[in-house]
Amino acid sequence: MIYGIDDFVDLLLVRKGIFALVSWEHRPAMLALLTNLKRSVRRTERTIRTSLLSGENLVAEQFVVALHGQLKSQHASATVLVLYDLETLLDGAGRILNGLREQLRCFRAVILVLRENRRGDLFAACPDFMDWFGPIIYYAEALSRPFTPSDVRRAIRSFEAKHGMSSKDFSRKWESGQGTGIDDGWMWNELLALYGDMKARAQT
Amino acid sequence: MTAELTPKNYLQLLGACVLGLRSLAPGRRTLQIVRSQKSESWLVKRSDTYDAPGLLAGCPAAHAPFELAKGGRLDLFLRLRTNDKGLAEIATYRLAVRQIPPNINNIVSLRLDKKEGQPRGDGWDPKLGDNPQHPWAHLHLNFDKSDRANELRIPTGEVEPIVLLMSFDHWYCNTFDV
Repeated sequence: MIYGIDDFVDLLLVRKGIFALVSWEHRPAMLALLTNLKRSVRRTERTIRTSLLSGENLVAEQFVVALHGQLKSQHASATVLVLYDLETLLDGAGRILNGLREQLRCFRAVILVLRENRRGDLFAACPDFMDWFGPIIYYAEALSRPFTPSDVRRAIRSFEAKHGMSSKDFSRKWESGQGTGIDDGWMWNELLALYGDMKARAQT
Repeated sequence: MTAELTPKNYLQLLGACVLGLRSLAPGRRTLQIVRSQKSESWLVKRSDTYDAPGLLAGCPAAHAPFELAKGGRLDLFLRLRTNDKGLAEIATYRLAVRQIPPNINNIVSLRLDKKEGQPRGDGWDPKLGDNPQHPWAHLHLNFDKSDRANELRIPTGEVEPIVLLMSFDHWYCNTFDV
Protein backbone atom coordinates (compact mmCIF):
# COMPACT_ATOMS: atom_id res chain seq x y z
CA MET A 1 0.00 0.00 0.00
CA ILE A 2 1.24 3.47 -0.91
CA TYR A 3 0.77 6.15 1.74
CA GLY A 4 2.12 9.16 -0.09
CA ILE A 5 4.55 10.45 -2.65
CA ASP A 6 7.67 9.22 -0.82
CA ASP A 7 6.43 5.61 -0.79
CA PHE A 8 5.66 5.91 -4.48
CA VAL A 9 9.11 7.28 -5.30
CA ASP A 10 10.81 4.57 -3.23
CA LEU A 11 8.97 1.99 -5.28
CA LEU A 12 9.72 3.77 -8.52
CA LEU A 13 13.45 3.94 -7.96
CA VAL A 14 13.88 0.39 -6.75
CA ARG A 15 15.29 -0.63 -10.16
CA LYS A 16 15.72 0.73 -13.67
CA GLY A 17 12.93 0.73 -16.23
CA ILE A 18 9.81 0.88 -14.05
CA PHE A 19 6.57 2.01 -15.66
CA ALA A 20 3.82 3.48 -13.51
CA LEU A 21 0.33 4.67 -14.38
CA VAL A 22 -1.15 7.41 -12.22
CA SER A 23 -4.73 8.49 -12.70
CA TRP A 24 -6.36 11.64 -11.38
CA GLU A 25 -9.86 13.00 -10.89
CA HIS A 26 -9.05 16.47 -9.61
CA ARG A 27 -6.64 18.61 -11.60
CA PRO A 28 -5.15 20.34 -8.50
CA ALA A 29 -4.19 16.87 -7.22
CA MET A 30 -2.45 16.14 -10.52
CA LEU A 31 -0.57 19.45 -10.47
CA ALA A 32 0.42 18.89 -6.84
CA LEU A 33 1.70 15.45 -7.83
CA LEU A 34 4.03 16.91 -10.47
CA THR A 35 5.53 19.35 -7.96
CA ASN A 36 5.81 16.84 -5.15
CA LEU A 37 7.25 14.16 -7.41
CA LYS A 38 10.18 16.33 -8.49
CA ARG A 39 11.02 17.21 -4.90
CA SER A 40 10.65 13.68 -3.63
CA VAL A 41 12.83 12.18 -6.39
CA ARG A 42 15.54 14.74 -5.68
CA ARG A 43 15.29 14.05 -1.95
CA THR A 44 15.47 10.29 -2.47
CA GLU A 45 18.27 10.13 -5.02
CA ARG A 46 20.16 13.28 -5.89
CA THR A 47 21.58 11.92 -9.14
CA ILE A 48 18.16 11.27 -10.63
CA ARG A 49 16.32 14.07 -12.39
CA THR A 50 12.66 14.36 -13.26
CA SER A 51 11.64 15.44 -16.72
CA LEU A 52 8.07 16.53 -17.40
CA LEU A 53 6.63 16.19 -20.88
CA SER A 54 3.23 17.75 -21.34
CA GLY A 55 1.05 16.97 -24.33
CA GLU A 56 -0.97 20.16 -23.89
CA ASN A 57 -1.07 22.28 -27.06
CA LEU A 58 0.81 19.59 -29.00
CA VAL A 59 -0.33 17.52 -31.95
CA ALA A 60 0.88 13.95 -32.35
CA GLU A 61 3.73 14.97 -34.69
CA GLN A 62 5.03 17.51 -32.18
CA PHE A 63 4.66 15.01 -29.37
CA VAL A 64 6.81 12.41 -31.14
CA VAL A 65 9.52 15.04 -31.77
CA ALA A 66 9.47 16.03 -28.09
CA LEU A 67 9.62 12.37 -27.05
CA HIS A 68 12.56 11.67 -29.36
CA GLY A 69 14.32 14.66 -27.80
CA GLN A 70 13.96 12.99 -24.40
CA LEU A 71 15.07 9.62 -25.75
CA LYS A 72 18.24 11.09 -27.23
CA SER A 73 19.24 12.72 -23.96
CA GLN A 74 22.50 11.37 -22.57
CA HIS A 75 20.94 11.49 -19.11
CA ALA A 76 18.00 9.24 -20.03
CA SER A 77 19.09 6.41 -17.74
CA ALA A 78 19.10 8.85 -14.82
CA THR A 79 15.77 10.44 -15.73
CA VAL A 80 12.27 9.83 -14.48
CA LEU A 81 10.12 10.77 -17.46
CA VAL A 82 6.63 12.02 -16.62
CA LEU A 83 4.09 12.16 -19.45
CA TYR A 84 0.98 14.17 -18.67
CA ASP A 85 -1.81 16.21 -20.25
CA LEU A 86 -2.09 13.71 -23.09
CA GLU A 87 -5.89 13.62 -23.01
CA THR A 88 -6.39 15.78 -26.11
CA LEU A 89 -4.06 13.69 -28.30
CA LEU A 90 -4.64 10.34 -26.72
CA ASP A 91 -5.12 8.34 -29.94
CA GLY A 92 -2.01 9.72 -31.62
CA ALA A 93 0.13 9.71 -28.48
CA GLY A 94 -1.06 6.19 -27.69
CA ARG A 95 0.10 4.89 -31.07
CA ILE A 96 3.47 6.62 -30.66
CA LEU A 97 3.99 5.24 -27.17
CA ASN A 98 3.02 1.79 -28.36
CA GLY A 99 5.63 1.96 -31.10
CA LEU A 100 8.39 3.36 -28.92
CA ARG A 101 7.77 1.19 -25.88
CA GLU A 102 11.05 -0.75 -26.18
CA GLN A 103 13.08 2.45 -26.42
CA LEU A 104 11.31 3.95 -23.40
CA ARG A 105 12.99 1.34 -21.23
CA CYS A 106 16.16 3.44 -21.38
CA PHE A 107 14.69 5.79 -18.77
CA ARG A 108 15.10 5.19 -15.10
CA ALA A 109 11.31 5.22 -14.86
CA VAL A 110 8.34 6.33 -16.93
CA ILE A 111 5.21 7.70 -15.31
CA LEU A 112 2.07 8.21 -17.31
CA VAL A 113 -0.36 10.59 -15.64
CA LEU A 114 -3.87 10.42 -17.03
CA ARG A 115 -7.37 11.55 -16.19
CA GLU A 116 -9.31 8.71 -14.60
CA ASN A 117 -12.14 8.69 -17.16
CA ARG A 118 -9.71 8.36 -20.10
CA ARG A 119 -8.01 5.18 -18.96
CA GLY A 120 -10.20 3.00 -21.19
CA ASP A 121 -9.25 5.08 -24.24
CA LEU A 122 -5.58 4.75 -23.41
CA PHE A 123 -5.81 0.97 -23.15
CA ALA A 124 -7.49 0.92 -26.56
CA ALA A 125 -4.87 3.21 -28.10
CA CYS A 126 -1.75 1.40 -26.89
CA PRO A 127 -2.55 -2.09 -25.59
CA ASP A 128 1.05 -3.39 -25.81
CA PHE A 129 2.50 -0.38 -24.03
CA MET A 130 -0.14 -0.63 -21.30
CA ASP A 131 0.87 -4.24 -20.68
CA TRP A 132 4.07 -2.94 -19.16
CA PHE A 133 2.30 -1.03 -16.43
CA GLY A 134 0.94 -4.13 -14.77
CA PRO A 135 -2.29 -4.27 -12.84
CA ILE A 136 -1.58 -1.50 -10.31
CA ILE A 137 -2.95 1.97 -10.89
CA TYR A 138 -1.89 4.76 -8.57
CA TYR A 139 -4.14 7.72 -7.75
CA ALA A 140 -2.76 11.22 -7.74
CA GLU A 141 -5.18 12.07 -4.92
CA ALA A 142 -3.51 9.47 -2.69
CA LEU A 143 0.06 10.54 -3.46
CA SER A 144 0.21 13.58 -1.25
CA ARG A 145 3.44 14.83 0.22
CA PRO A 146 4.13 14.22 3.90
CA PHE A 147 3.42 17.14 6.20
CA THR A 148 6.01 18.94 8.29
CA PRO A 149 5.73 20.86 11.58
CA SER A 150 5.70 24.08 9.50
CA ASP A 151 2.61 22.87 7.62
CA VAL A 152 0.86 22.18 10.91
CA ARG A 153 1.93 25.55 12.31
CA ARG A 154 0.58 27.26 9.18
CA ALA A 155 -2.75 25.46 9.55
CA ILE A 156 -2.92 26.55 13.22
CA ARG A 157 -2.23 30.16 12.22
CA SER A 158 -5.10 30.05 9.76
CA PHE A 159 -7.43 29.04 12.62
CA GLU A 160 -6.12 31.92 14.73
CA ALA A 161 -6.73 34.37 11.88
CA LYS A 162 -10.16 32.92 11.08
CA HIS A 163 -11.44 33.15 14.66
CA GLY A 164 -9.46 36.20 15.79
CA MET A 165 -8.15 34.32 18.81
CA SER A 166 -4.75 33.08 19.86
CA SER A 167 -4.24 29.36 20.23
CA LYS A 168 -3.40 29.96 23.88
CA ASP A 169 -6.79 31.57 24.53
CA PHE A 170 -8.52 28.86 22.55
CA SER A 171 -6.78 26.12 24.54
CA ARG A 172 -7.73 27.80 27.81
CA LYS A 173 -11.39 27.83 26.80
CA TRP A 174 -11.22 24.32 25.41
CA GLU A 175 -9.59 22.92 28.55
CA SER A 176 -12.17 24.59 30.79
CA GLY A 177 -14.83 22.42 29.14
CA GLN A 178 -17.20 25.40 28.91
CA GLY A 179 -17.32 25.29 25.15
CA THR A 180 -15.58 27.62 22.78
CA GLY A 181 -18.50 28.38 20.47
CA ILE A 182 -16.24 27.43 17.58
CA ASP A 183 -17.66 24.83 15.23
CA ASP A 184 -14.33 23.52 14.01
CA GLY A 185 -12.68 23.69 17.45
CA TRP A 186 -12.11 19.95 17.30
CA MET A 187 -9.72 20.31 14.38
CA TRP A 188 -7.97 23.30 15.93
CA ASN A 189 -7.39 21.29 19.09
CA GLU A 190 -6.22 18.33 17.01
CA LEU A 191 -3.69 20.47 15.17
CA LEU A 192 -2.35 21.86 18.44
CA ALA A 193 -1.98 18.34 19.82
CA LEU A 194 -0.32 17.20 16.61
CA TYR A 195 2.10 20.11 16.62
CA GLY A 196 2.96 19.52 20.28
CA ASP A 197 3.52 15.86 19.55
CA MET A 198 5.83 16.54 16.61
CA LYS A 199 7.81 19.12 18.54
CA ALA A 200 8.22 16.79 21.51
CA ARG A 201 9.44 13.99 19.22
CA ALA A 202 11.91 16.31 17.55
CA GLN A 203 13.42 17.19 20.92
CA THR A 204 13.95 13.58 22.00
CA MET B 1 -5.02 2.66 22.59
CA THR B 2 -2.21 0.75 20.89
CA ALA B 3 -2.80 -1.61 18.03
CA GLU B 4 -0.43 -4.57 17.87
CA LEU B 5 0.41 -3.48 14.35
CA THR B 6 2.64 -0.92 12.72
CA PRO B 7 0.79 2.19 11.50
CA LYS B 8 1.11 1.00 7.91
CA ASN B 9 -0.33 -2.40 8.73
CA TYR B 10 -3.08 -0.91 10.86
CA LEU B 11 -4.08 1.47 8.08
CA GLN B 12 -4.05 -1.40 5.63
CA LEU B 13 -6.47 -3.25 7.90
CA LEU B 14 -8.63 -0.15 8.26
CA GLY B 15 -8.60 0.38 4.50
CA ALA B 16 -9.63 -3.24 3.89
CA CYS B 17 -12.42 -2.84 6.44
CA VAL B 18 -13.72 0.31 4.72
CA LEU B 19 -13.67 -1.44 1.35
CA GLY B 20 -15.87 -4.17 2.78
CA LEU B 21 -18.51 -1.94 4.39
CA ARG B 22 -21.77 -2.51 2.54
CA SER B 23 -23.34 0.53 4.19
CA LEU B 24 -21.06 2.80 2.15
CA ALA B 25 -22.27 3.70 -1.30
CA PRO B 26 -20.23 2.18 -4.12
CA GLY B 27 -17.49 4.40 -5.47
CA ARG B 28 -14.63 5.83 -3.56
CA ARG B 29 -14.47 3.61 -0.49
CA THR B 30 -10.95 4.75 0.15
CA LEU B 31 -9.33 6.55 3.02
CA GLN B 32 -7.34 9.72 2.64
CA ILE B 33 -4.16 9.22 4.57
CA VAL B 34 -1.36 11.72 5.11
CA ARG B 35 1.65 11.24 7.27
CA SER B 36 4.35 13.42 8.70
CA GLN B 37 7.76 13.53 7.08
CA LYS B 38 9.32 11.38 9.80
CA SER B 39 6.31 9.02 9.84
CA GLU B 40 5.68 9.67 13.51
CA SER B 41 2.14 11.01 12.97
CA TRP B 42 -0.61 9.92 10.61
CA LEU B 43 -3.93 11.55 9.78
CA VAL B 44 -6.90 9.78 8.25
CA LYS B 45 -9.69 12.04 7.11
CA ARG B 46 -12.90 11.80 5.13
CA SER B 47 -14.95 14.78 6.23
CA ASP B 48 -16.17 18.10 4.88
CA THR B 49 -16.86 19.41 8.36
CA TYR B 50 -13.43 19.73 9.87
CA ASP B 51 -10.92 21.34 7.60
CA ALA B 52 -7.20 21.61 8.23
CA PRO B 53 -6.20 24.37 5.82
CA GLY B 54 -3.19 23.58 3.72
CA LEU B 55 -2.45 20.31 5.42
CA LEU B 56 -4.57 18.20 3.10
CA ALA B 57 -4.68 20.64 0.20
CA GLY B 58 -3.74 18.12 -2.48
CA CYS B 59 -6.18 15.51 -1.21
CA PRO B 60 -9.72 16.38 -2.38
CA ALA B 61 -11.14 13.11 -1.04
CA ALA B 62 -10.13 14.18 2.46
CA HIS B 63 -12.83 16.85 2.28
CA ALA B 64 -15.57 14.49 1.13
CA PRO B 65 -17.43 12.31 3.64
CA PHE B 66 -18.46 8.79 2.67
CA GLU B 67 -21.95 8.61 1.19
CA LEU B 68 -24.14 5.90 2.71
CA ALA B 69 -25.91 3.39 0.47
CA LYS B 70 -29.49 4.24 1.51
CA GLY B 71 -28.93 7.87 2.50
CA GLY B 72 -26.74 9.67 4.99
CA ARG B 73 -23.10 10.66 5.23
CA LEU B 74 -20.29 9.34 7.34
CA ASP B 75 -17.38 11.51 8.47
CA LEU B 76 -14.22 9.89 9.73
CA PHE B 77 -11.16 11.40 11.34
CA LEU B 78 -8.30 9.54 12.99
CA ARG B 79 -4.95 10.61 14.29
CA LEU B 80 -2.34 7.94 14.82
CA ARG B 81 1.17 8.11 16.13
CA THR B 82 4.01 5.69 16.02
CA ASN B 83 5.04 4.68 19.52
CA ASP B 84 8.54 3.79 20.76
CA LYS B 85 8.08 0.19 19.65
CA GLY B 86 7.04 1.26 16.16
CA LEU B 87 3.41 0.29 16.76
CA ALA B 88 0.33 2.34 15.94
CA GLU B 89 -1.19 4.30 18.78
CA ILE B 90 -4.65 5.69 18.10
CA ALA B 91 -4.40 9.16 19.61
CA THR B 92 -7.86 10.42 18.63
CA TYR B 93 -10.86 9.42 16.59
CA ARG B 94 -14.10 10.98 15.50
CA LEU B 95 -16.83 9.17 13.62
CA ALA B 96 -19.96 11.14 12.76
CA VAL B 97 -23.01 10.04 10.82
CA ARG B 98 -25.56 12.59 9.64
CA GLN B 99 -28.78 12.70 7.64
CA ILE B 100 -29.71 9.11 8.48
CA PRO B 101 -33.07 8.27 6.83
CA PRO B 102 -36.09 7.56 9.11
CA ASN B 103 -35.49 4.37 11.09
CA ILE B 104 -36.91 2.33 13.96
CA ASN B 105 -34.35 3.75 16.41
CA ASN B 106 -35.27 7.33 15.51
CA ILE B 107 -31.61 8.17 15.07
CA VAL B 108 -30.99 11.11 12.79
CA SER B 109 -27.32 11.51 13.57
CA LEU B 110 -24.68 10.15 15.88
CA ARG B 111 -21.12 10.97 16.70
CA LEU B 112 -18.39 9.19 18.61
CA ASP B 113 -15.54 11.31 19.91
CA LYS B 114 -12.33 10.34 21.59
CA LYS B 115 -9.95 13.15 22.23
CA GLU B 116 -6.44 12.85 23.47
CA GLY B 117 -6.72 15.11 26.49
CA GLN B 118 -9.53 15.44 28.97
CA PRO B 119 -11.03 18.88 29.74
CA ARG B 120 -10.84 19.25 33.53
CA GLY B 121 -13.06 22.27 33.95
CA ASP B 122 -16.59 22.29 35.34
CA GLY B 123 -17.77 18.83 36.32
CA TRP B 124 -14.34 17.24 36.67
CA ASP B 125 -14.37 14.55 39.36
CA PRO B 126 -10.90 13.51 40.54
CA LYS B 127 -12.31 10.38 42.22
CA LEU B 128 -13.89 9.21 38.98
CA GLY B 129 -10.96 10.41 36.95
CA ASP B 130 -13.40 11.73 34.39
CA ASN B 131 -15.90 14.48 33.78
CA PRO B 132 -19.51 13.28 33.75
CA GLN B 133 -20.56 16.54 32.08
CA HIS B 134 -18.08 15.94 29.33
CA PRO B 135 -16.72 12.39 29.47
CA TRP B 136 -13.43 11.73 27.77
CA ALA B 137 -14.68 9.32 25.10
CA HIS B 138 -18.37 9.65 24.39
CA LEU B 139 -21.32 9.13 22.06
CA HIS B 140 -23.65 11.93 20.92
CA LEU B 141 -27.08 10.90 19.68
CA ASN B 142 -29.06 13.16 17.33
CA PHE B 143 -26.45 15.78 18.02
CA ASP B 144 -26.98 18.01 15.02
CA LYS B 145 -30.56 19.03 15.80
CA SER B 146 -29.35 21.93 17.95
CA ASP B 147 -26.60 22.98 20.36
CA ARG B 148 -28.63 21.64 23.26
CA ALA B 149 -29.00 18.28 21.52
CA ASN B 150 -25.22 18.14 21.42
CA GLU B 151 -25.14 18.13 25.23
CA LEU B 152 -25.97 14.41 25.39
CA ARG B 153 -22.64 12.68 25.87
CA ILE B 154 -22.82 9.02 26.81
CA PRO B 155 -19.44 7.79 28.02
CA THR B 156 -18.13 4.92 25.95
CA GLY B 157 -14.50 4.50 26.88
CA GLU B 158 -12.03 3.96 24.09
CA VAL B 159 -13.36 1.87 21.23
CA GLU B 160 -11.33 0.46 18.40
CA PRO B 161 -12.35 2.53 15.32
CA ILE B 162 -12.56 -0.55 13.10
CA VAL B 163 -15.06 -2.08 15.53
CA LEU B 164 -17.02 1.19 15.50
CA LEU B 165 -17.24 1.20 11.72
CA MET B 166 -18.20 -2.45 11.49
CA SER B 167 -20.74 -2.16 14.27
CA PHE B 168 -22.40 0.84 12.64
CA ASP B 169 -22.32 -1.00 9.30
CA HIS B 170 -24.12 -3.97 10.86
CA TRP B 171 -26.91 -1.76 12.25
CA TYR B 172 -27.27 0.26 9.06
CA CYS B 173 -27.39 -2.76 6.76
CA ASN B 174 -29.96 -4.51 8.98
CA THR B 175 -32.11 -1.42 9.39
CA PHE B 176 -32.17 -0.41 5.75
CA ASP B 177 -31.91 -3.86 4.15
CA VAL B 178 -28.68 -3.15 2.35
